Amino acid sequence: MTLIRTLLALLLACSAVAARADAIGTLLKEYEAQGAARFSVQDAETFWTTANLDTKTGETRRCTTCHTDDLRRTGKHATTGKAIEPLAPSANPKRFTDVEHIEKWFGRNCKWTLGRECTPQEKGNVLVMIRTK
Amino acid sequence: MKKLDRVAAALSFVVLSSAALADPRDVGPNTNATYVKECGACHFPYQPALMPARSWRKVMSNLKDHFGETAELKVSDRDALTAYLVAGAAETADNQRSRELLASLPPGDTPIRVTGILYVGGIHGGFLDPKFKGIPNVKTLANCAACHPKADEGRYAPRVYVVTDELFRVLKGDYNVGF
Repeated sequence: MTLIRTLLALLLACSAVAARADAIGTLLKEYEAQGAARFSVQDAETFWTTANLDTKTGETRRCTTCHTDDLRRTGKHATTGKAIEPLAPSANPKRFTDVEHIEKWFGRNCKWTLGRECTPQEKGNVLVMIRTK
Repeated sequence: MKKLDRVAAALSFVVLSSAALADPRDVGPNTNATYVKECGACHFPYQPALMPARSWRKVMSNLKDHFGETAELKVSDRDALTAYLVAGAAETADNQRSRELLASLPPGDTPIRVTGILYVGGIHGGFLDPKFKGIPNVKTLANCAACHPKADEGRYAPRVYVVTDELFRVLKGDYNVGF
């Protein structure tokens, strides 16, 4: 019984890993097609903690504002206080397995944090960084 | 004839008792998984019975500027969720909570926040009312689940909190309430 359970757990873990490789791989190819150059984890780390000023409210906003500076931790929505599940795949295997979901949240969160859409380069950098966590 | 009377009596009993059962005191849980997933991603997924239909229509018609953020959905999702919210809104819901909150609204008032409904703000005491003294405490009051452990079931009677100024300062982080 435990053998079957272990095998099942392993299978599910593998499928999550496979799904993530698919989703991230697909998006990276798209971003390259849109003009992105070599993706950089280092650039992403800087981007992730850079302060952005929201002119409308005067607030300083960073990705870490909601996601914290440790992607394995649970984050918190800056306005509502609602818990945000960890982004790190090592802490949360469901992350980054759905292309539509990834793009939707890039859209919303870049607009909130930076006041604009992220460039394909920025998005690709972030993806290669997150998959190392 | 006698048998028919008995059947009629039994049926009436069933209908009447289920009518009584169908009149709970509170709003009950969300029944739309997409709503919980999409809208509950950023904030507590307020049950439809907590606001009148006109409020839901207003909110859903302006997701581009949803309390300062963009919450746009693809059209099919937005339409489906609007339908869900309107169908389950306070006027059509059959529970005590909805009746009370509707009764507290000035005629024609269209709140866009659950926390902006007088019944909700009033129960939480003036100092938590978003409009009280012009201090926006929405950050705390909006997160029902912070103090109501059964909020996701639509049961707001159970609550765990200690009402101190300090607690709410802690819950809000470093927001300075000023008193």
